[in-house]
Amino acid sequence: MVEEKELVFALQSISQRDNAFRELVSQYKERLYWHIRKIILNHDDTDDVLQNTFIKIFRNIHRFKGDSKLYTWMYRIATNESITFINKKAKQQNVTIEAVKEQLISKLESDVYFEGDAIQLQLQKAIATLPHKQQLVFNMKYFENHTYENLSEILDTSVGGLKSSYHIAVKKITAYLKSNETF
Amino acid sequence: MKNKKHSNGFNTPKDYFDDFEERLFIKISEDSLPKESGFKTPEGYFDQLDAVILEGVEASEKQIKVVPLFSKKTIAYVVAIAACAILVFSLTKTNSTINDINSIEITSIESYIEEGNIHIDSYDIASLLIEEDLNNLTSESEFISEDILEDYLLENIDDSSILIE
Repeated sequence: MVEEKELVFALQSISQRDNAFRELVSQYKERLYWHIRKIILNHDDTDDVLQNTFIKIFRNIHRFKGDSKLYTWMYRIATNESITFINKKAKQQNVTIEAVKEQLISKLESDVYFEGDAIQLQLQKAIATLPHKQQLVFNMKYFENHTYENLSEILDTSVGGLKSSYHIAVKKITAYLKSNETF
Repeated sequence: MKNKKHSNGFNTPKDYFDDFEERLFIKISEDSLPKESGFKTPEGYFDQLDAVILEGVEASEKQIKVVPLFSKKTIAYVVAIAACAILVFSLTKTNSTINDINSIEITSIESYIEEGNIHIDSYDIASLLIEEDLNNLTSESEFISEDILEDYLLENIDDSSILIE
């Protein structure tokens, strides 16, 4: 693992940029993939969004000022790209964003790259019922183990606000699972 | 309970006990949820991902290196020339009709401002006031009732961080 400051310096210098970018991709590809996958749900679209995310990162790295951590900056780009993807899909099909999300969740059952059991599928359905921000907070806290401090930087929300968002999300999910107990 | 005979010197963070049940409930709920999401990737996906991403970035870089017909530089030249022309024109014009500020009636200046022909920032006005004026201004703000203030805040403040979904 190269120190973040050194990596940023290398990314912003012309001579070292390409090698540094290679390093950046290998360090962050998996984490960003899983972050996007939780929002987009299917593998192929996640792959597209992940590539667009790295293209954006490459093009805009000279604008990175270092006032936040590099990795929170990249997560912000990945989050925005994912949201843009869903919004675009909704526009193309001329349906609401909620309808697109419902489509994504309904396809999960037959998705070859979803090997979750009944309760894992129910959990995804429960997450899908949450408002967008709570979905993000829940996924990032529960599955990706981000600290509230990092989340605060990525989502530009106070730690207090995030804690209560997460608590509300957990309560809603538990209630959903209880009322849909089929296993 | 609170009137302890001896203090042991230990302390807890502020509000620790107030939301203890809440945090405990969340912990118990979390434990009942599956630990894994169930999502998988095609085999070997991450192994070849670096190459795919780097290729994609390279391809997109080639795409955007197209020189536009109207570059920023050309636009800058056009704007500069236009600005010079306007400047020369306006200078010659003002020379022929020099107005004395004193010859304009106060009322016409007032109506000019009232009709919205001039934009004066409230900070500009404030900079002309002496401290005494400013103190008088603040005391007038006490006339704003809480209801009006609340309505104003509800309608005009849109801070998503205040609204917890």
